Amino acid sequence: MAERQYATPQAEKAARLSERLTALVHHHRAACEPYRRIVDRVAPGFSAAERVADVPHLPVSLFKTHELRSIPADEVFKTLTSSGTTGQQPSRVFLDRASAAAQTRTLAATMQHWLGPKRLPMLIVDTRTVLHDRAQFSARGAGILGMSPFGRDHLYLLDAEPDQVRAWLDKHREGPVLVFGFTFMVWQHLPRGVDLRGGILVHSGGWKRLVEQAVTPEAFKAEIRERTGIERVHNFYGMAEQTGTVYVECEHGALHAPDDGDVVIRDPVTWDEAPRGEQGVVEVVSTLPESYPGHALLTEDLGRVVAVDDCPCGRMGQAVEILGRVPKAELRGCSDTAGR
Amino acid sequence: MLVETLVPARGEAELEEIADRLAARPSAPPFAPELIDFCHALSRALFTDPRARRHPELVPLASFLRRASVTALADEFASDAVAGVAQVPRGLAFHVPPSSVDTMFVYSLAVSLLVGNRNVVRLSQRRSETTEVLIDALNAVAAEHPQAGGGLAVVSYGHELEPSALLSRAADVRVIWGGDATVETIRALPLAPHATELLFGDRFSLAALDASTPEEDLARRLFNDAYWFDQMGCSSPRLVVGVGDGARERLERLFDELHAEVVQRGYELELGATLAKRAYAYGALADRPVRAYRELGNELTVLELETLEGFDRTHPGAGLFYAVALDSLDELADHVVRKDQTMTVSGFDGETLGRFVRAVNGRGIDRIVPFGEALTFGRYWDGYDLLGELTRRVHAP
Repeated sequence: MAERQYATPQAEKAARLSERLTALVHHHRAACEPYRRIVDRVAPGFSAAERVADVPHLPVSLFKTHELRSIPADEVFKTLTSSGTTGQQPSRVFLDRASAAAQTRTLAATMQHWLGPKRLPMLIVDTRTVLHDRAQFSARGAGILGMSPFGRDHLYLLDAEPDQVRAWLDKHREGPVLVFGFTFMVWQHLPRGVDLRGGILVHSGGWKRLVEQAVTPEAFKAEIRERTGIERVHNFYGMAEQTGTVYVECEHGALHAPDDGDVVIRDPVTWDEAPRGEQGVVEVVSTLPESYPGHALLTEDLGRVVAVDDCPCGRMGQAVEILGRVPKAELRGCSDTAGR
Repeated sequence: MLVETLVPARGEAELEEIADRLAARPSAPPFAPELIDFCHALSRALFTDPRARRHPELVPLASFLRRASVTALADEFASDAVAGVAQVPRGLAFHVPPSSVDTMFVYSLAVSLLVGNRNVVRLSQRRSETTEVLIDALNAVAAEHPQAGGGLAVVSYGHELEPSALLSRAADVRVIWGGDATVETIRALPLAPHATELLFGDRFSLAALDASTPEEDLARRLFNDAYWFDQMGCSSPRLVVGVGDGARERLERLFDELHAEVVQRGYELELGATLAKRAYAYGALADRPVRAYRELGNELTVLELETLEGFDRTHPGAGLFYAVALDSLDELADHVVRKDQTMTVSGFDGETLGRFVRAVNGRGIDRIVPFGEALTFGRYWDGYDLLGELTRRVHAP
């Protein structure tokens, strides 16, 4: 991971990923019986993926309904859970020590690229209470714990009294600070009139609640600048089922695939890879998942490829725009009456 | 308590007053001319509503309500008569229909009305355009036929239980359609000591065909049975059983033809339903004895099972079919469970089917009908004879 991030041209990167993902398919087929049963039916005779899009993928919601792991139960070091947005069964992602370490290492390499080598004083737009149960992280808690090592002297904004906030800001008046939070938490709670000029805001968690209030990414950035003076705002996209592999937004608003992961935008009718620029269903791939078969996941998000080695920011590889979630469908039928 | 009223007029009213008014009215004699006229007028109103063209599921309902069809039902009712026994209405019927098979409330209502009962129907506040068309038709017809219309009320409220509790106490018979959860919730509300109830919980339906006697047109009929309510109707087939030599090949051909039918009819699923179906199907691959997996476009997925052993009947709708090849119907009989409702059939003779019903002997399957008639409503439903259940028998020698 010492090599420079976002430096590999897409063709070379895709060849490397295809090879590595092929190896993961065979690894998980051998180690995870339910995965083998699925792959042997949906991709009978699979031997090697020529393209990343040829790697068999799983619907991400399968991690909500099924226990999928490629390690024995007694080697599970940590179970990540994420409830998603619908309040149903949470996803369960089983990590052993090596996978957990790989996630941390990879995330660090990516974030250092964006934040620089120095750890900045970190303002977290949330409360410590979301961290409570360390064995069963919530998505918000996991996000905060994942990001915390990239800052120092952490202040949880929603736990702090006004004079504590003032004191903290005074202390760090000289240098830049790192502000982190979930998108809607930042929008709702980052106060107007605090001077954070020169700072960096990193946020994530989706636009759903902001889209409801008709807030565009541009309006979000303008508002943050007006409230705090922060010019550098990085949204990032990623999912609990591929923790460590994150897609960070550059100065030009594009979410860049990291070195260890990529996206395949799929046409929702043919399910082939959609042409560049066309909207489709987002599949995410990552070379990290060894302890569970989460290396190729079809999400319920819509997106499109906005750059391939040609983003004006200069970063190589693919960059995407996420266009929101696929709306839940309502089927008809003899469904329940009392609950509605 | 104040509730929204939909029939006999849209507005608001005190539910107590509605219940009192219905309780005070006399019942009509079963199949009285004004009741048949009412149904026929409703049929005409549906056939002539320009909006109805967009809702093909209204066509079989309108046909069911036609004078000829209703008179045939009256004749059946008359010929069932036993000497020395008079069949009379139960009184006030309280219907809780499913929220999303939009036409169900009118079938339930019409049969009850025809045998002379007064009726109150609870609809959910989330209503489709089909339901609105039906409400408008009922209002127009009730205004022209005050005698039959006066014994009818359709109300709407949310999932609060108080209104249902009030109507349950006032009812002589309660009819609960919809999922198991609804049945459980409403069933807990007390009825008057003399009152009875009809319960229609979650069901599973299947199709069975004899591979050696191929029938024409099966794919078109299977399409109508399965796709009309997005395969979410209780009688929509979700498992297709091929019986006899060459069953696997026959099934494979049938699904190819069904796919062609889906394409030709222009049936399309929303993306969310496609994703939910695929997630379900992949889960089934992980858990179940699936021999082969086929995706024929987004709208048709086939999971061929090696065996029905342990088959648990969960299903996402949206055009997913389990398929299995068996040597005989006897083999299928071993796997029938209480939840199984309708079996659409092709190619079996009456004797074979009779033997099958006797072999199952009430463990499940309440209807056996030809392909294409899975959704055709009838007096015999879920093991009930609705005409019988909605009346009382008076011994009068």
